[in-house]
Amino acid sequence: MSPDILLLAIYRLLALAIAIAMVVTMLRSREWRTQFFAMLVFIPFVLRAAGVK
Amino acid sequence: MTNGRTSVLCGLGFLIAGVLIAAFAGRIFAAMHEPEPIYPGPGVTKTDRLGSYFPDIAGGPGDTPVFVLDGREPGGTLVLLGGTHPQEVAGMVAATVVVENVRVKKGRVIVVPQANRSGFTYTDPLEGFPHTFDVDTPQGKRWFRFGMRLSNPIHQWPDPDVQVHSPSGEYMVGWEARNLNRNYPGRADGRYTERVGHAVTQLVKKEDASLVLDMHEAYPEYPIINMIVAHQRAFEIGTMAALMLQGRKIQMDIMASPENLHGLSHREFGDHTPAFSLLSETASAAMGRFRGRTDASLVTEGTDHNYEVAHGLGRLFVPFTATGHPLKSRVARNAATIEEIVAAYNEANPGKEIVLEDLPSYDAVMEKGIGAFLKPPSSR
Repeated sequence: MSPDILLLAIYRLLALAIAIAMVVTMLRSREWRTQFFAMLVFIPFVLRAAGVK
Repeated sequence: MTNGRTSVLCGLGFLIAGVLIAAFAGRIFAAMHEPEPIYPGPGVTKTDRLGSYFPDIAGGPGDTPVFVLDGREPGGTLVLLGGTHPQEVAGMVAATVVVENVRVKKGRVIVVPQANRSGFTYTDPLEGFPHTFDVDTPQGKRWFRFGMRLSNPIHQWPDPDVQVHSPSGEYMVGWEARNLNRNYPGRADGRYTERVGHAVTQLVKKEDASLVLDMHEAYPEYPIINMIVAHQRAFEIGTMAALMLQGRKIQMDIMASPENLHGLSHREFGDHTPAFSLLSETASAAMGRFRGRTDASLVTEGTDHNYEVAHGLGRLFVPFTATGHPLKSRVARNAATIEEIVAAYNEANPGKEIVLEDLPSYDAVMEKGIGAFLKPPSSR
């Protein structure tokens, strides 16, 4: 595995972790603004985790 | 604050909305990886991939079509590169016109219309660039992709603080690590863009190229524009071609490839292969910082009021009137440049000539438009 691919894999895993954290925040938060902002963060990070952005 | 059940329902609603928006946006991003069709013309004898010259990139984002046009008689080999910088679209369209029209009488032509395939798969955020543009043909519209100067960061990330060019050791700004035209001759074990550079260099070496022309564009406020840049061994060919173009009232100047500016095709193919190496530049308003509304029409029509004003203030290096620099004039200029460079090469290399047939002339492209020289959509 080349260093490039390894770095990209780490980046995608970090993006996935943030996307999952945002899902947890959306489901556990009691405050709609927090849930809304979690959704805004979730969108680009799930796209990055999926490798299309 | 809301009660627990309402909060969970609200959260689920946001989650579903987020997934739907991500799916919609993801489809757009994924669609940018779909390659535009290029139809082999009557002169194409073989369609290959860049990966066959360096299997390490085969099937990956750097693999790109290579069209071989064998001549009826032996002679020299011309390698034409388009799309080294994917937002400099006139080179890619001119290369496509060659693939779809030219027959080779003597020698051989190898065309790589999208040298940096990865750069065609994205556009920079916050710039408003179109993803595609259309060219009208008599039978319908042909679509082409508008990409970016650098490789897509999803294929090579992160950029170093400083890019060190191999093998010269020259220091460059970090993002040049994703610029194919700063990564020749490339490295087999380098980063993604260096590996693509290595693959193109392998093509030039393995096919024993006599002449390489890398077709680029630049913004009108850039000094190296409407210009041929030539390696010192190719300077005579470039000068003759520029003189002949000027004689035809097609303004094109000549510049020597700086010996200490590394990584560029005109420098490295000349230094590392026996080929005569040249690069051409035409003017694209869609790339410049003065541009106004940025859409597909700016790419194809090449007109922009801001640039007319900048021209009036003497800030540009090319004339810029209300007619601008339409794509057809930039493609016509590339076609004429190919014609004159090949003619100048032939004069200096008897016995290894390259003779092209059915290359559209400058006047024909200007009169009939590019679409007249493109195959109809879905003609495969």
